[in-house]
Amino acid sequence: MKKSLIVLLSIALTAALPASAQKLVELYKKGTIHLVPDKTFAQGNDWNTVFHSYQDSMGNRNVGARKSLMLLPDGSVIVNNTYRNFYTKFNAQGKFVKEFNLKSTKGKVFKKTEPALGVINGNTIYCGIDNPGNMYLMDFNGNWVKTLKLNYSSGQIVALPNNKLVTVGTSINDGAIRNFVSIVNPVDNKEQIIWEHRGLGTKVLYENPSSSERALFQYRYQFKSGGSISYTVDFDGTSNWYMDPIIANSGNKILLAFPENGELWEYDLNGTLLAKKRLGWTRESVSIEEQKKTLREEIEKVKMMTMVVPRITKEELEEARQKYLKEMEEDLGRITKTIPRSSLSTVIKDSDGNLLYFEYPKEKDENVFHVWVYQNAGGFVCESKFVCEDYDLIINPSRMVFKNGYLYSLQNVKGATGIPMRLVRFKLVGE
Amino acid sequence: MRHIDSDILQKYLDGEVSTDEKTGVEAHLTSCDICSFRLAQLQGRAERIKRLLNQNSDVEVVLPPLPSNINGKLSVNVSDFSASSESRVKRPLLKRWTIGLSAACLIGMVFLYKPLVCRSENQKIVRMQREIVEVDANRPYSEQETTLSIIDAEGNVTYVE
Repeated sequence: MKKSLIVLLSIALTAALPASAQKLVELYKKGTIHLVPDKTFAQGNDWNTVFHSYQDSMGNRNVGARKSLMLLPDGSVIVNNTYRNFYTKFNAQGKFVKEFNLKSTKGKVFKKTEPALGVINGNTIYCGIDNPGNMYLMDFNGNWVKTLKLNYSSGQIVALPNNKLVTVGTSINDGAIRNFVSIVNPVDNKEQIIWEHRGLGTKVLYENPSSSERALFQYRYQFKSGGSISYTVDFDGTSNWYMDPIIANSGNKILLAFPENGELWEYDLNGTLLAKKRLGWTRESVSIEEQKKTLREEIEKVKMMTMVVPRITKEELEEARQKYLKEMEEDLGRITKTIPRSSLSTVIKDSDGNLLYFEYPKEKDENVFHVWVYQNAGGFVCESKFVCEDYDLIINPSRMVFKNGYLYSLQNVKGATGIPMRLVRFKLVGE
Repeated sequence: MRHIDSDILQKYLDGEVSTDEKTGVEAHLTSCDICSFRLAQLQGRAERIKRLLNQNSDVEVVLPPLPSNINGKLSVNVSDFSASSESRVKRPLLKRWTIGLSAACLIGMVFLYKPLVCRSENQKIVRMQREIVEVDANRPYSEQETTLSIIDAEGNVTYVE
């Protein structure tokens, strides 16, 4: 009780001060960060009207709830509305201003737009890459400025201090899937690949590999008439398969974090690799015994499994089953290594330039992040977590953006009637 | 304004609605940009999948039932069937693929960033992968919302659910 009172008192006192008055890293070192809504921000909005597209659904999915935000240099906020072609703008005090579209030079509204992601040159918004591989640049009022032809898909795009962009892309190249990290110069549309990964073990999987070459836990039978049937034993959160690196920028560095092996690669802004480090925190793994236990259970399931494929005879399907079982039995003797579980989920950059590397928590609301400071050589300094009394936190860089020590966010308020989503500005208070 | 149910919109696209339903849908579409946009998206998706399928063959795949509570993921590689002289299935392409892929999801072909790579006889590669829609670092890995996507030989990404 006494401790709770002290914490509450501490929150009440420090909430009066913006976090910008103190170094954020000093707050993180306190361990738990309370996100306290700034009651002066985004007041007077009718959220049912402002976020009217929140209820949009596609199939059975509430796609309207997938909103993201970005901040303009003056502190005003743009909210992206998934599957809609308009953006929602709020002023620096969080007051709704307008909805606007991306428009051509002739004033024609683009029917399909990608989310506004960030600002380059202090005056131009860059958007996500659309399906044909175009990235649109627009001014702060939605007027089209330029189209970059990137010809690939990308899930991550980050602006650099030199007004270039760094992307994580996927394309088909020479008949193989190619994943890469590229520095894009918006001035001339030129790109520089600084890291790439080709193919996905297709040779091992699909060219009748010998027992020693065959990837563990992946079983495939090629039908005599063409086609195949495959079976994979999966361990939640493991990195048996390829995963994209997570990119970030801090100071004059580009950082690539690899969930599959826990490495952190540092590049300068010209794409020169400077250092390879390991993420410092402990990583869990699936033990050899745990793998064997799961595989034995899977063998029993395959024995009992019903297999039906049109045009394929029961005899051939039985042949497939026996091939699986033979290879699964072989694999029991091939398991010699633990499998690391991927713990890295996402990265958020704060307004001091520190990077917050988040793990996947074991339970909901038990988030954990590791703070990478950008000063000097950079390094991890502490572990911390966010807690929030008033909102059901979703932690993602597209929903949480730092500015001047505050955290601007789109979150669902607890116990709301009507549409629960709010634009909220949090003060960070260390416990 | 009440919008058109997604199933009805899909049926409209597949030519499977009744005359009355068709009239109602078309009347709504003339005044609703949202549903027109959704319809255009469905059409685009159908065309992309059709294009993708044309690179391969036209063989219906029924995914086998699996016992419940299973870790293993069973899948049939629909994209690497070689061209067959056998009779073709009449079901519309999009619907057939949607059903097949939905079934694949239902039976647990769940790859969280774990792609399934298929290679056809003509060496074209298609990747089908389950992606996390929006990473939430406040939820365990197993509770992330995911979607299934296909990358065709031209690098186009099609989200199928």
